[in-house]
Amino acid sequence: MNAIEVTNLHYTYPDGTHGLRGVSLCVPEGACLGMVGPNGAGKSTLLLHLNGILNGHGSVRVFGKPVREDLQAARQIVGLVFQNPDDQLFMPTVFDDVAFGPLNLGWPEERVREAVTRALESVGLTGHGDRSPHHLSLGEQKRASIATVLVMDCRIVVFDEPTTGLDPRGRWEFIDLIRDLPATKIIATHDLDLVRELCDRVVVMDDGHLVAEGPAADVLADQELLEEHGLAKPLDG
Amino acid sequence: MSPCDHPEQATRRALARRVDPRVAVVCVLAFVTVQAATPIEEWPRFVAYAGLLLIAVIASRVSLVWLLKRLALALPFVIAVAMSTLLVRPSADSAVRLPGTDLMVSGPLLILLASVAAKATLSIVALSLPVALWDFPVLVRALQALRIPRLFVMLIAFMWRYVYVLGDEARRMVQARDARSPRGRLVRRVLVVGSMAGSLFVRGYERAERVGQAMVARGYDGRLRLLVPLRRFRAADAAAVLVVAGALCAMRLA
Repeated sequence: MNAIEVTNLHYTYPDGTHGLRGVSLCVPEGACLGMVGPNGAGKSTLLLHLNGILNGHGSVRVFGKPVREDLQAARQIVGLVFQNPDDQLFMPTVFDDVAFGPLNLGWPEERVREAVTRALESVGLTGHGDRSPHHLSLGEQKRASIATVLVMDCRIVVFDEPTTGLDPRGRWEFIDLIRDLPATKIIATHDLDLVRELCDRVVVMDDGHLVAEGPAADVLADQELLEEHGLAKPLDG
Repeated sequence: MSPCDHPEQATRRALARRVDPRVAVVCVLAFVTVQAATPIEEWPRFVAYAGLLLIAVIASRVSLVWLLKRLALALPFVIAVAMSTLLVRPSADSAVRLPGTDLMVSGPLLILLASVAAKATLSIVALSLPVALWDFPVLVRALQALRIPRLFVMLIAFMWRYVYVLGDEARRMVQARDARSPRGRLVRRVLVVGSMAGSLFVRGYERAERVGQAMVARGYDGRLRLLVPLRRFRAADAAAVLVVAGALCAMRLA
């Protein structure tokens, strides 16, 4: 079954900029899809459609159901991890932030507490609940951002530039963390090593179009395609 | 100074913490309102207000240094009024001699200066006490329970979270400015601050949009929900209300 089905999706920003120009895409359940492309290619715009934050022309289905039909349900299934943790972590403490989604879903208090404890434990942040997000290191903030999504039992987790700003050790720890997530994953990134490490399929976007799609090994080996769309080939690729 | 740090662990064991935070917030707001509505000419009342506040400070076990740092917030207002007091030429019938000097200043402006200094000091000290005593989510929950307008509560919550993020951005902008104009004249550097403030506003606005998207992505529907349980009212809460209300009435009406 397809976790995500996007059909002929168009989106134009209020200032007239075209974000998406007829994108169609299928992501099977359990897959890990890499989404690469230069800045302004439309990757983030597409991600924001997957749980109905943006509403363009076209169709977006999550496990067969149109996102617009039941936004609240779609938002429980599709978890977005934003590029900058300062955007994702907006509550006074880490605990409150991780509890934000479940409380909006109307879960009872005891269930929320259990789920938050479990989510923080799964990202290695046990005991950090009372801290302000501002006091966490960038790596910890990124992990807390994942906890805010994991806590809602999301079946699809979408990452926007997940390794930006991390040092090499933190980056590889974060890649391991993403690998172990039991969910369908979509990762928009410039980090081709990450794509090669985690993704089974890759789509290339440019100027609002989906210009290529295929197995990660094939796409990453296509030097001409990568150069044409402003992407570097992996060093040992 | 971090957003969630308390002045010191001593406040955790303070007598004032036995009071429900909702009661504390109400008492503080009542104190601020009553003293702000008192004319400065009735200065003996302000001595009494200061005495009541001193008792609260002692019961809160807040250090003097921590309070003095908060009082720095009042400085810009006091300085602004002080400047106008010194710069405005007084009329003949309102001029008074500044004690210890030959300087003649406007009597009404001098009274205004005393009023701003006294009321701002008392207000800031009083409003700082709940912040010192309880974690911030507890205070936000208390404001919600008191039916303070939702938008106002959210403004306070986001300001608490993002004031340091914006502060960091401002610092980086200052560093970028200094890197490109290490020996710039003071006037020119000050002028650049204006454009930096505009840039900071735009960045803050864009961040607000992204934060809004992150909130909506996790099911936000306009209500800020917090998992902070409210406790039942106890004898200490009733006693605090009675003591503060009685004291304020006595000080205002006596």
